[in-house]
Amino acid sequence: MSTFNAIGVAGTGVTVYRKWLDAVSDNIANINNVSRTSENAFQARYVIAQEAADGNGAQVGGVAFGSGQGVITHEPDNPLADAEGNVRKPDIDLGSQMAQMMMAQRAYQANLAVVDRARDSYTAAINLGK
Amino acid sequence: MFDDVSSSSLRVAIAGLAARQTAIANNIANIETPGYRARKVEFEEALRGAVAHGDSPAGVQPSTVTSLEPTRLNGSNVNLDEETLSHIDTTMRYQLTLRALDSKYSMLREAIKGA
Repeated sequence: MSTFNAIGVAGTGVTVYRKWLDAVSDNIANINNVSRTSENAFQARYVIAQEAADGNGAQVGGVAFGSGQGVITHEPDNPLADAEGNVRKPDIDLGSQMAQMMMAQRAYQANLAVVDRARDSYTAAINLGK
Repeated sequence: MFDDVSSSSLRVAIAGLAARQTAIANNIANIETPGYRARKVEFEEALRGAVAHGDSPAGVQPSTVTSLEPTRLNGSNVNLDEETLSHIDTTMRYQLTLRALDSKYSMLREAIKGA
């Protein structure tokens, strides 16, 4: 166990939830992408949190992708539309992305609060014997 | 002089509280990890037992138990409010214990210096 372990462990949590927030903002940024019906729609990214391999904290275990099927929309004016005037748009639910963002944000803040409190303890330990 | 019952109890308590702090940091880092079970560090009972029986407290090791709380939908059973309160409590106890050990050492320092 390293000396300032709690700070490092909470730091791994901060990293995981920052990546999660990145994935959610990427999904929301691409929510209105348009692609040809012959191509896949933008696929939402989902961060998979898991316990760190060494047992100290958390890590990103991988990324799962949403469906590339998307939603076929009739937009005949769109330059990407096919012969029938259809385009493909991502099937991303903004509500569920916002919920994910709040979860990631709260978890990020909780981990930063741990860093803060752990620092107080370690400061007290450093001042021992003064 | 440095391994009387109170000094070594305080040292065991500091080690146990530091381990608890790390365990809480671990639980909060894994708050959204599917299938994760919260861990709790216990040492108070063992320490109290050792002191009551006149054994050396220095041999007391903190033990880790897994929480049996019901899990949320994602399979993790970390409870953020409980962990946060426990972390604040642990931080305070840690600082209090350090202060007690510090006072103990400063008494010894005074005794070594003499008049």
